[in-house]
Amino acid sequence: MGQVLVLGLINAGIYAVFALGVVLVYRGTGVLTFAQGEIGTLGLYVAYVLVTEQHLPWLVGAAGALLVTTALGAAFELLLVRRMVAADPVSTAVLTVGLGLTILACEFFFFGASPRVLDPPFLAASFTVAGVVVTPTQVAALVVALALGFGLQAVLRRTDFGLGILAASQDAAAVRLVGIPLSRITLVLWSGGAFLAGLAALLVEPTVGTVTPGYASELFVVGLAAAVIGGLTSLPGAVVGGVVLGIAESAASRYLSDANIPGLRYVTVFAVLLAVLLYRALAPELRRRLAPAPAGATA
Amino acid sequence: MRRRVASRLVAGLAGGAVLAACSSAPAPTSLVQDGGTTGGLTAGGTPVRGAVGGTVPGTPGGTTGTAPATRGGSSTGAQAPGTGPAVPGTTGGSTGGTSGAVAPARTTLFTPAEDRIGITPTSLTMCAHAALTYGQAFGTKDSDFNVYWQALNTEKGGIFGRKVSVSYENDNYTPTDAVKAATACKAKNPFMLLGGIGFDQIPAVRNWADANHMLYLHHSATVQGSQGKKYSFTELPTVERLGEGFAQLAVAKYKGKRIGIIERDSSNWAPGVQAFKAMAKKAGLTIVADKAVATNKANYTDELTAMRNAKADVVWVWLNALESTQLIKQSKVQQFSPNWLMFPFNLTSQTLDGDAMTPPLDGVAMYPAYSQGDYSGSFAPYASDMKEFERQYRQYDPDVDLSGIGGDLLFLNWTAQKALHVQLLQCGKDCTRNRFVDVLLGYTGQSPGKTACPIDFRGDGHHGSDSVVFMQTYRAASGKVNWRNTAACVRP
Repeated sequence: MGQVLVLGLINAGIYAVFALGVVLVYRGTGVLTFAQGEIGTLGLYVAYVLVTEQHLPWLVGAAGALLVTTALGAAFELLLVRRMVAADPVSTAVLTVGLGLTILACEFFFFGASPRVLDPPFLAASFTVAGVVVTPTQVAALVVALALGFGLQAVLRRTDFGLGILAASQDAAAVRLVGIPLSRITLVLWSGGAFLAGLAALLVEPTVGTVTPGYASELFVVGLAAAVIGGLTSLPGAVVGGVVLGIAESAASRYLSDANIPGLRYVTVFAVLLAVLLYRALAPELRRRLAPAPAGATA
Repeated sequence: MRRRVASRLVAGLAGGAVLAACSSAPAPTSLVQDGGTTGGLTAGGTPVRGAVGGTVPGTPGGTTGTAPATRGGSSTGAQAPGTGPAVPGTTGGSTGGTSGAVAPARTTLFTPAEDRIGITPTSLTMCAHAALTYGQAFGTKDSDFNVYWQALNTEKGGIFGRKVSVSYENDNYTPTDAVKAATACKAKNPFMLLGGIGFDQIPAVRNWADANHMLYLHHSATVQGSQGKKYSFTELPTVERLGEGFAQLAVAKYKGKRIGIIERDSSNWAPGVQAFKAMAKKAGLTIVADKAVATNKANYTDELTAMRNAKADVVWVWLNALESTQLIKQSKVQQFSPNWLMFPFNLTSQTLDGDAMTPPLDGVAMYPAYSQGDYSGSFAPYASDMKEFERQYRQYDPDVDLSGIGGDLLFLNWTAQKALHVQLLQCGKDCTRNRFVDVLLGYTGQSPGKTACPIDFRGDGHHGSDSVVFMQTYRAASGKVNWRNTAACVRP
């Protein structure tokens, strides 16, 4: 059981960090972004060039990766999203699909599809918990996810800028009327989301081991499911969603692997997602039906 | 960082795209144009053993005397195929002239209207479905896989004066797209369809080939579902046989050790594992863990932990080259270093570099190893092929880095094409689809080079080989970690 928990938390750290970027952008703009995985992968290639090819320290590579991904998010907002301010969020979401595919094509163009190795920063500092070798970056992924999930939530709730973001997501026109710089808010959200994508990729890569174009897509899909489980608008919820999926997947892998269920991983993710969505859909009605009828009410 | 041409975005070729059907087919050490006035070709260099009718002595080559022997090729057109043994007989190959009275083919799969599709007096066209996107991982593009035909067309004028061309359709490494690719190929009216690596794609295309009367030479696939198929052929071992091959290697090297399995979660891969387990049970191997994983899982911490929990000394990775590379890299992070059994590609060994030597990796394949410039040891028996391969690439495709991660893939593809060349020669000047099937069904070959393994379709008329090659990683003189054969043509 301890091993299931440890493996689940390792998975959770991965899914949660991907989910956070999705939620941050969705929370502030109402747009579901599908480019997180590829933005992060692009950051990894930047780190690969700096660390493996230029022999610079890992931290320099990481800083370069975060700089590039943040700048990419900002450029995306300035050049494209800002011009679609009146568009339906679905249109912008489709635009993020285009961004992801464009980045994927660039990765193929410049690096080819051969796997690249970016060695982890602290391999020697790994330790064993319940028979599982845990690396520092795996711990960092979970800690960072928790810190960002709850920290960003606090920023959103307790700072003027955060409240501006929340207000903008509710009624952008009203926010603009009261003088809140909407363009700055969206710029921060998109570049912040891209920063988180880069951070997620850096934290996940040592676990995955190699970098190839699109390498994060499968992980991102589960991260997206984690965001949905968390309600899509809750940053702590995204972390919780990551933990739920991570542990569920780990438990299924441990206890159901002998059942020979094809696609067990996806079945697990889908089953949890379905259960949560059904609960959300049915819970109000169930509560209403189970609630005692008001006094004096008649059929 | 290396800038690549834009075509690479859509062009690379997966796992031996064209090795389609024949990568382990015997590739004679020389294919020489005879001295005949009509330009016929003879396949040289091999003694001849008839498939159906017993041993057929080789015949002297062309009048130049440079061709040691033909294997029943009908390059003269003087003797019709289909008499006695299914292998067309030949009386020499020196004239290469037009046929006189040519006996009908024994095979009647194709109607007269279908029989000559894709073949004219001046051209022979083929089409391949292959995972072009996946192939980019090997740093290759589709034109890199046509060098053999390019050299043949330029230097020998093709086959019986027919220029050979092969085009490619991307199957995206999925069954659905493979059928789409096959359909797109059919629209080009090829003589035959070739199928690149893809345990999941080939069974789907096999069904399609029968429904569409398409001559189909494909890479390895499971036996399951092939029963009754008439239009598809493979000269490579089946998925089941590969699984057995891995078990044979495990028995030979790791008997008494604890074996773990990490396998692709696919019904088209599973028969290999079942065959492995069946042979393992017979040989007394101990299998301590078996985990199935989805395609592109990326994070294998669960599976590696399961192997460690089970105290596996040896882990058989029944996944593709990219996934295997990723998994072994992660095992190092997990500080888990068992002996690994896997598909041997230089892509994996060169990417892992030192990690592929601690301990050396073990592999089982249906193709020979390749390490540029190394003609010694286990490479010696087919060094002449390697040299010719390298010469052709220097001449026709000089930008390709044969020492890199795609060199072995190109070599296995090249040897497959060379074998296909021999069969097309044997098909004769009057080659048709039905005649080509005659050749396949009667083809038995064993070239002097030890890469070549026996081919014999007498079993089910569909599968021609049960031979596999054992390999191990080594550090080449170039400094790169590559694979080399440790045993060739291993049979059940």
